[in-house]
Amino acid sequence: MTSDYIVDSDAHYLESLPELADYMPDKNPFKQRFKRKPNKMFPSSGYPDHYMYGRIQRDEVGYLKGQMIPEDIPTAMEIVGANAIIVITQKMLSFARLGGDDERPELIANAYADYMLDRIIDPDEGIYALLVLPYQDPERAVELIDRCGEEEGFVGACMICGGPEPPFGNRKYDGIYEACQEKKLPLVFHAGGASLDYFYIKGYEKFIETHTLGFLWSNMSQLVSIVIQGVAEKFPELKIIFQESGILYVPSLMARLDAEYLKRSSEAPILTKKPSEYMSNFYYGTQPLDEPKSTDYFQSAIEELGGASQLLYASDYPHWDYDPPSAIKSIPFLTDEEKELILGKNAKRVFGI
Amino acid sequence: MTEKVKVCKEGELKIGSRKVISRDGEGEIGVFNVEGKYYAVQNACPHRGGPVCEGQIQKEIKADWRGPGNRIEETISSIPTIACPWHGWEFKLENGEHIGDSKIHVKTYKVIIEDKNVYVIC
Ligand code: FES
Repeated sequence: MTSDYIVDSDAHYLESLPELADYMPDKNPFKQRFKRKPNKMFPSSGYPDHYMYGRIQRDEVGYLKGQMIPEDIPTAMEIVGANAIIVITQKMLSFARLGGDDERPELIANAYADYMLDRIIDPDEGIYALLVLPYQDPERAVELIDRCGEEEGFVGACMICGGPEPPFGNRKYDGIYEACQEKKLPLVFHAGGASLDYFYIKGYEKFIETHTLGFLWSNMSQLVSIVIQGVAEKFPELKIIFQESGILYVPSLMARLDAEYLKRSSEAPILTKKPSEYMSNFYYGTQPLDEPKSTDYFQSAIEELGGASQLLYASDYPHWDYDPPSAIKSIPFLTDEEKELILGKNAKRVFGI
Repeated sequence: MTEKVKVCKEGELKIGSRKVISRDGEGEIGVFNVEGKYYAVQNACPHRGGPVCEGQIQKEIKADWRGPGNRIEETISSIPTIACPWHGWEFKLENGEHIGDSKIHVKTYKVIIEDKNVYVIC
């Protein structure tokens, strides 16, 4: 490994639902529904256009034309400058919007897994993916982990944070955590749920408002539940990663949770240490990297959350607010070694790439 | 230099009761009789200085988890604690340790019985 080896720990791909449907069982009636009326089967991401009606462009790949092709991934890697990339597809990010039956999530997650293995994943080329779990039915999620969790290209599993009920600290998800721990599959919690139409408070006017709040809310709400319900205490070997809410919310949540915990320890007797001590063992994707005015503040925030060893560079490409590696390279107080950790070495270690 | 401060006569402090004594310029100490055992705690919470000795005495709640899928059962242990009435910081009476963070302590004192009197060693 050269010192400038870059792992993009969170990038995206836009698949088409009819294409995914090819990987669904022939006898399942949903297959034809997904093929013929995909938009009826899967809620759209709602208003608005994240790309601000042409102001932000991604012409290099097919994302904004409505579908990417597998060849777009090496292009994306070249644009980002990544030697390895970990992909989740667009439809899977919208998982939390499948809020009715638990059959569609299961069906799509399984089809996605087979599609990724067949069409996208290519470890020789540094292309990896996360196994997105249909957490709506935890038993079926465990079956999917059993079926695909050890495939070489799936370097971790993923749960989408946009509004699971109950939240992820609940014991109903224990089987998922146990299976991931057993198979040494790192578990990524990925933010989601920020559009005006689907935001949990109705009436915001602009996406800038709901995106700022939504991704923070989705990760913070799950972090609080996971930490206080003792997931890290119950599954101490499970590697936990939070993606796509920037990083500054982490020390702030640590401080708030610690203060609450010292006042209400009796409500969290399973914990054997302060919330921040668990959280500083979790990993955090850097994108969208916060840009605070004070460098000193930024530096101490990174120290508070556990230091450079806990950060994973993520581009989020081709999304509208993606970060190139220069976002990390230009942080003035990081040493070269710390930049190497964040840009690649940590992800290699965490995901076993 | 340790000091021996008289609290009361033996038997005066009934089971379940408490007495707060003050020492000139040295602050207050709460003395408790919990199930026949004496404890003494400084009446100043390490959080914001609240009157911890006015707080409720109870037993520490412990977690019992029997594996994946099971609820975390909460059970009352036999460890007596006192909770500061201002914000709930809770300390073990035995050693003053905060139940959520062993690095935080409220000061505790030794209680002795001598010549049928109860004393706190400060
Ligand atoms: S002063 Fe005692 S808990 Fe705040």
